[in-house]
Amino acid sequence: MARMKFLCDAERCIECNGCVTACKNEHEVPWGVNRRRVVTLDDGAPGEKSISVACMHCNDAPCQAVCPVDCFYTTNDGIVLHDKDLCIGCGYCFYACPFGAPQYPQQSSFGARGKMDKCTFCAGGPGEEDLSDAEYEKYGRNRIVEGKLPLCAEMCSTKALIAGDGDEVADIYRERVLRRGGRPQTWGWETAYDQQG
Amino acid sequence: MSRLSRVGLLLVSLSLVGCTNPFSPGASKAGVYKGATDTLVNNADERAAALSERFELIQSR
Repeated sequence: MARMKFLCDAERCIECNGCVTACKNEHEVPWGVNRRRVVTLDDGAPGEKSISVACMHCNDAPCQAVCPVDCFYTTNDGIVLHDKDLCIGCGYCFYACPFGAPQYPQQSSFGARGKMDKCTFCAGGPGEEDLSDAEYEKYGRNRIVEGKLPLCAEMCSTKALIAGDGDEVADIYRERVLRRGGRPQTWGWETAYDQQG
Repeated sequence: MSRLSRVGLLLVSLSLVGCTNPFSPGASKAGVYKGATDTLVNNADERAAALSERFELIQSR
């Protein structure tokens, strides 16, 4: 069975923010919420690296583990989704997520954050009829039901952002690595493993 | 039984209705999703072929 994953190739990402714009437009994400964003390290310096980050739909999702109301679930193909009717906006998932994926629509006083919002892998959400206005308003577009993949990855001009079955994504990335000379060249590799050049 | 006693018994019964809630700490299992159902959860096999085809299309452009 397929296991849906995102992968951002830092060697290809040109920080155009097209994925961020596409996501916000496709789902009409409100101001202050970014389901996807581009992070740049060493911005302006030679060798800067950019990477597009959103919910990574973890196999053993920490957000799911810490949620006190158990509003998270994982589909058979590995997409991590949540029920906004159950969410109490406690923020535990935000602290647990290593990618900063959970977002909150309100920044008012007294800790009132509102219902958590995050990348749905363009798969909508529970409790509403697929492709209905109610589902769109609550969770955004449901492209998976339409047989489409997340728009951010579909429209990536350099194909830096790939979304699909983890095995197929890994095959493509492996081929790219071999073309580049067989070294992983993943961002941070030299730093992590103390290798030069 | 007098009418007054019957009314009293009725009132006592009604006031005790709230005490019969069968809730117990074991009624809710921790870590198990408790929200509404989603049709996407169990039909991954049905859409796998379509998504794989779409993936090929996107990557071959």
